[in-house]
Amino acid sequence: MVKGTSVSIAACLTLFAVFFLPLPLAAQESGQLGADREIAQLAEKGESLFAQKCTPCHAIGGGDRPTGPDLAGITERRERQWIRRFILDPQGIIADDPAARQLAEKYPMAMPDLGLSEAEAEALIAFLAMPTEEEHQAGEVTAPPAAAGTQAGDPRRGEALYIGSTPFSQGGAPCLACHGIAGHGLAGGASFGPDLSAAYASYGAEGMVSMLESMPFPSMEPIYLDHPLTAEESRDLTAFLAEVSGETPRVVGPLARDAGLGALFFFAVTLAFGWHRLRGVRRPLVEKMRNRIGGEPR
Amino acid sequence: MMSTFLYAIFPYLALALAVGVGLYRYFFDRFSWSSQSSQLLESRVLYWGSVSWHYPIVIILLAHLLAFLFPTGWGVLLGRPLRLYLLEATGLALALCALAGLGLLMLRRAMHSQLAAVSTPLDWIVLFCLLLQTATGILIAFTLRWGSVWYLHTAAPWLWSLLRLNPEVQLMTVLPLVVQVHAVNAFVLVALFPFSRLVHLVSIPITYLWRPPQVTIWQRRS
Repeated sequence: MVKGTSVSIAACLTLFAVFFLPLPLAAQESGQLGADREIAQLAEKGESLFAQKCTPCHAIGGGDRPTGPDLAGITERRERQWIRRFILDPQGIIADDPAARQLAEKYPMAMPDLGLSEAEAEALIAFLAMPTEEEHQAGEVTAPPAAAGTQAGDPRRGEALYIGSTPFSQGGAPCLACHGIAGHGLAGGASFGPDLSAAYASYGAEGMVSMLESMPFPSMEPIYLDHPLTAEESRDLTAFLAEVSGETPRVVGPLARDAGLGALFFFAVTLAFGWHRLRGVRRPLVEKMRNRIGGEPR
Repeated sequence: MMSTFLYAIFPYLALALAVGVGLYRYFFDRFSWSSQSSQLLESRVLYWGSVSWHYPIVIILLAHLLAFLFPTGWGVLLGRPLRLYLLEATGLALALCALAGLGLLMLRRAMHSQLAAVSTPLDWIVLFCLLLQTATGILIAFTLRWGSVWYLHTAAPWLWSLLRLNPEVQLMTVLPLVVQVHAVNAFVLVALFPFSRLVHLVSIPITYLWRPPQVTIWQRRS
């Protein structure tokens, strides 16, 4: 009896071991797979963000550009927290981090605030960390997308697009609405955004074209999201910017003077019309009455 | 959240107030539908203040309205740098006149005891909102050049999106603070319109143009 019971217990233990012990291991493996899949999805999101926001200035494996350093292997060279901060608050980190300041000195075109969320920054970092440097260099995700930059544009058409005499085909705002430019009369002193007289020198043809095509600046995004520039328009604008590159930007000094003169002219007209206004009819009568009743003449 | 309220909810509230309360006041309190004249109390400063304020501000308002209604035509008009500069300089000159006129009107109301006595707190609120609106407009025109063009691609599409009942809030939230103050304060003025003397905006004595002449006889001695 005792022997039969021992056999039964042993059989039960064996069965338990056969069927249940492997479960935690399997769960661990499937958990690992899930996490990998999650990271892969995050990196995929990061890849599209990279193409949209970063490629105008940065390459991966294509070498440093005048607009920004190559980001291949960045996650191995810098801590994640440092990269996250650079993505989310570029001006802040440049102000108080020596390494970031050094980069800002090397690349004078300041990195704009991209307006990304924490989650988007994580996705970008996941993408930057995902493939190895060799994979990057093999060209899986390579640098500047804009091959268009290599073709020459028409600077005259670019100029017309810049000042708005030729509207953009998709209805985007002409550059002169916000950006000053050298050599274009008094209106060349637009000041909403930075003057673009030196933009070509900072970005180069390739950077300029890809920037114009993607418009990675938060303040420009809503304006051009549904009204993007065509590849040809970007080339023409780049050709125009290359032409004015190096010229001295215009400072709009006379605007205040001219507006002041205009205001003086208006006051002069007001004075001319008001000089003898109502004097002949009402005021003498009012003053006469006031004098008669002993009131203060006005 | 705040930007959703300011650019997607508040404009509708302001318009609803303007139309709803405006109609109510027109039909149930029609004699109040005007702004009380203060000309008899003081007329010299009134002339300079009123002329310098009203003519420029009406032209500037019309420019905002035309650019909103006909953005393509407005864009073509400003497609030449010289025209753009002339329009901007003229607009700024008019705005400076309007600011000077408004300043005079406010000083007049504060300094003249008889006028101060007939002024209500709401008069002052309206005047301060108008001052804020004019000052921010001048600041924008001078520092964020050229507003007459970028308006066509930022605030104007936002206003159209409001009309389509699909507000595109992000068009406004990316703009500098001074522009946002200018836009929100514009709708504050719309909301104040039916409660204040601003109703005279749509109470134009146009029939004066063709009414029969009147002869005023002042104490004629027989």
